[in-house]
Amino acid sequence: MLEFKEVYKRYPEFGEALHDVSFHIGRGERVFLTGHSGAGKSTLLKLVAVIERATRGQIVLDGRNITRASNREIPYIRRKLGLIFQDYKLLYDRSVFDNVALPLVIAGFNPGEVSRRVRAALGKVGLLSKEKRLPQTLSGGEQQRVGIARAIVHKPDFILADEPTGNLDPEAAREVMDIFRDFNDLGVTLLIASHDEQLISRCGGRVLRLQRGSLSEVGA
Amino acid sequence: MKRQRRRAQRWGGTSAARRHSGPSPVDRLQSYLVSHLHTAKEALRRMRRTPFAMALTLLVIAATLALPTSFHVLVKNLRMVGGDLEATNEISLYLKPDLSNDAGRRLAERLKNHAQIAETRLVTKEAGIEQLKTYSGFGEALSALNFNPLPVVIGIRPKDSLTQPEQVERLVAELKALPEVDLVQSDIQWMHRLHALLQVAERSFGVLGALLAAAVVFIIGNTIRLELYGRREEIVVQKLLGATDRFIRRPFLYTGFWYGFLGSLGAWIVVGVMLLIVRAPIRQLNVLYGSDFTLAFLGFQETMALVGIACFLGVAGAFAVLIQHLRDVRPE
Repeated sequence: MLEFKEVYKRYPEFGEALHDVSFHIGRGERVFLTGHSGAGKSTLLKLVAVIERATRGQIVLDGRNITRASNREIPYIRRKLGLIFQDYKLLYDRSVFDNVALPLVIAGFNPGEVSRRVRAALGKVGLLSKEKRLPQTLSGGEQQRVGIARAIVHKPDFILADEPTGNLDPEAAREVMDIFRDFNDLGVTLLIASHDEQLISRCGGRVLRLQRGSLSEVGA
Repeated sequence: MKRQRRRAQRWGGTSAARRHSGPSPVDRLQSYLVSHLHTAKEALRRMRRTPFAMALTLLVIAATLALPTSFHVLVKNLRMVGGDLEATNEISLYLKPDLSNDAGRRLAERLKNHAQIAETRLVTKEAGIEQLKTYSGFGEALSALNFNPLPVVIGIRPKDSLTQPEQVERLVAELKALPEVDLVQSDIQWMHRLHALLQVAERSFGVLGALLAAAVVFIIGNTIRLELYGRREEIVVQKLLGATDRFIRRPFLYTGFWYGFLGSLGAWIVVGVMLLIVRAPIRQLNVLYGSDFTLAFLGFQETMALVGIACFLGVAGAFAVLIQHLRDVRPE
């Protein structure tokens, strides 16, 4: 599903963020990426979503090398992914429904199909009754569940989450993790960056640890 | 769209999960059109959310468009006046005052055989004073005169083959040399001057029009630029979710389109009101000159041209800004 081969990332302003990172994630795996803040977790995820480009090395996503993808190809790479962010990145002037519908509208689905899929996705995260609400009227945990619904509505094979529980209380964090586990059980590949070791150990799965840009495998 | 689909296919992979989740081509076309319609409506709705800013921008655009449009209407009307005069491009011969009606009639007969003259029209002393009484409003004063001071006048219409101004002038000189003739008056010379002036006006219309078109592009572009920065977050999220630049540009292009479209309607109304305002004085002039000149407004084709050009300028202004600034809006 995803392979890093001797990947380096150097920012002109901050120096080296990733140093000789190599790993492989198979289809259907559940993988946590952990490490202190500033260890390079976000950078690694950004490379997968082509928000940043690797300085050296190769990244292969679903059998294709994305390190040399042209700018015009980037949107189509991102459509294969479900991205989840610590700060949710919802559009606050639109309803929950419209937020979740966005990936489908972008991909050009017809309105009937859009509502069918949006309702299915909202059902999976338990927010079907709140589709008309604006995001500000929801709790943090609910907003993150909207973010998750938006990430899975176009049925991606691979979900990337960057500190998805970072802004949530323990109760909401557990709920979110349970949702992730359910998706993983359905065969979706997960790569979740988190520094919450407790939550990771309870959830279970392969753990990759980043330390000042270098990767070490902790084990399953 | 075809190229997009190819790119989508390339990155779509072949897994079973992908195959049943992509929209079909018919779906794609239908939702493409629906999404265009939706985007157009959404852009208009968004503009109406800030009615004051929108009204102000539209007013500026309307005024900018009204300037060359009213200039065009002015030139068009002058051209019509010119055309009317051309149809009556008579040369008037005022004969010496002591010549009688009969002598005038004989001269008119003689001139009719002239190679360059199509027609002659005799105005006797009596007919002349009648006309003067009817049109000038000096009727009573003229009645008080106990003699007729007017000369015999012969109106001459040159043959249509006389197209060059020099030919006409040569004929005028020849007529002036006749012993019976006191004065020759020809509208043709100032007709030519009017034409020359109109040509200058049309040239400057071109330059003015181009400048003001650039101004409209600039105004709309600037409005779009502000909107673009106001919606930075939204654009970033769309990009993260796999939106193409084309998809992100679309609502802004529609905003530009609406500004152009509504601005041109505004300009149309402004020019219409201007014409309504000058209609009354024109009617008075008509009474004074006994003419039946009517002001021409924009025709259907001209209106369509105004609207079309304005819409194009709006979209062009938006596009120019998007090409420049959309690249700066990126997920960090």
